[in-house]
Amino acid sequence: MAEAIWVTLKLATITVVFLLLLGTPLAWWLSGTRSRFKAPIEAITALPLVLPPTVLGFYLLILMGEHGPLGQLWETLFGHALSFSFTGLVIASCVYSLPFVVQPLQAAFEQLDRSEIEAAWTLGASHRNTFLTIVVPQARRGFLTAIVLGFAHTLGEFGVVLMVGGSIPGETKVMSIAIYEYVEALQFDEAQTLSLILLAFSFLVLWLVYTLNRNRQVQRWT
Amino acid sequence: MDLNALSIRARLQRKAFALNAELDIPLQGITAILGPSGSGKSTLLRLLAGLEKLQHGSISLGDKLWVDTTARRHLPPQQRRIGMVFQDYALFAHMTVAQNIAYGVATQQGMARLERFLSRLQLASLADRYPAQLSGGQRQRVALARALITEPDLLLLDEPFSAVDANLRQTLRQQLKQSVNEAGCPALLVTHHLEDVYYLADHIGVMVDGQLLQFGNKQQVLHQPNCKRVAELMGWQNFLPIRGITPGRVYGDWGGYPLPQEANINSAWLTIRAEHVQLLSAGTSDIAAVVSEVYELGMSRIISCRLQGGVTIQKTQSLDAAVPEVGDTVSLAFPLAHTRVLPDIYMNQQPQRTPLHVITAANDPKPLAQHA
Repeated sequence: MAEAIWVTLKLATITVVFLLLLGTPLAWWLSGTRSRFKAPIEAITALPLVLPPTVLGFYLLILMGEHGPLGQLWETLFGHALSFSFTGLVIASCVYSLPFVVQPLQAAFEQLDRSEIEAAWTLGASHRNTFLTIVVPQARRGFLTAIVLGFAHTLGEFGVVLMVGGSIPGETKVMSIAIYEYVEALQFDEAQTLSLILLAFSFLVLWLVYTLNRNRQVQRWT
Repeated sequence: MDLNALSIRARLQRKAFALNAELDIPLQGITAILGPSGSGKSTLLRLLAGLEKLQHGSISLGDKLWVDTTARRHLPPQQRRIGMVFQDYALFAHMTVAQNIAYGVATQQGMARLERFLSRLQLASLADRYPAQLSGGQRQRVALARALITEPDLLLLDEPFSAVDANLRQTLRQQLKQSVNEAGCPALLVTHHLEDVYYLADHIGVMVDGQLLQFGNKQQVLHQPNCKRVAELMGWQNFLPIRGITPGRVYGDWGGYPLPQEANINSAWLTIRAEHVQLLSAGTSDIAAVVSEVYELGMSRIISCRLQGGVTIQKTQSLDAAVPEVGDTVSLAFPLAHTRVLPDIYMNQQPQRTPLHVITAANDPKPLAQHA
């Protein structure tokens, strides 16, 4: 049980970190572009919202399997398989939770006052400094929402994990899979404990975020 | 390259808008670019700030080349050493007044200037407030301090009074003028308020539909507009259409008038400001009119007179002057020194108008009024 909790938290944390690194530039580009590629890229980003997790998991398995292009490339580079590994699970989780990180960030960036960014440039601030000192503080609600949704969504992942990661204890067996297996084995007490932990944790994280968002200082800015 | 000027050779083409401006702005005092909304003056300012990219042309400040499209040079805003006051002030909402003003200065020397600017612009007591807690006038002062504290080579002001109440504007204009003078920094202001130009500008550029129609010193543009469009924007109220021109005289349905200066064949309008129109007893000049409206506006009185052909002329006078009655027949006189004949519009350095009927001895029409 402890292993499943550890794998789940590790997976959710790493996924959120990767998604922030990948999703922030993508959301920034989507929020400002007039490119004709915007709509198709938005559609691709949002696909995990509407696709059944098993369908998404199936395609990811094909892509990352030993005969899939990504799986073969990975094996050539690192000498081990991508599917049914923790790394494969991280990649699949990043795809699965992508819209939950990108969309809140994009919405936050779209609400920013463009002239404040331009004002920072005219005052000599580099693009990087402007992003860190103007964009991030003003889009912090978007970042908080993205982190919480990305984390919570990865915690509750089931279908994709099952397809891509299977149920290897200590490697790919996350809490939702463990709960399923406990129920199948009629071990309701263990299933109950894990479910309660997930419920309490999810509630606490959401509570914390909503409290932070109601912070008086944040309200003073608006 | 003029070493004492901001030299602009700018051409920009967008779907429904073209910008064309060639001018050398002296690097001293305040230059105002006046134009109606949508005339392209804010775009010009953004080009100077480096926030928009020029398609064709060059921009240089003294010996510093900012933009040269042939050499594919485009200096980013960070390297232009400019200060800019945005139309909505663009204050950083999550920072206090002091943090906003100090944003562009990192050095200790710069931070020492913070105290000076806070007190100079009467912001010391507001230093810990956030922009949302400030009035429009206070925000404008913060934006001005933030732009000036970096000691820029050029200050750009985009409609800086548009977000404040009319009764506050004059106070803010005075503060702006004083701050810019103290900073010793040349400033370029874009506005559609003539009052800003009257009070602040040393030089004036007039932009309409993306074209720079006239540029010169304040007196020149105010008193010698080069076309009707510029005259309208400079507050000239009276335009009499010219239908014909003979050596030494112009004609219209309203009457005839001696040519006030050597008129261009493209001249289409006889123009005079309302304060220079003279109201005389009936029959004492060539131009007869009927008083159609009399009303008071602040400390002056406006008298509207209808001429033959339906043209209306406005006359302003002080409240203690004799008042004609509505319906009275009067004569009007236009002092030669204050009268201009102008084309419709002056674009691409050429006066523009529809062809004028040139009156020669062979086709000289009947006099339209009782001119001598």
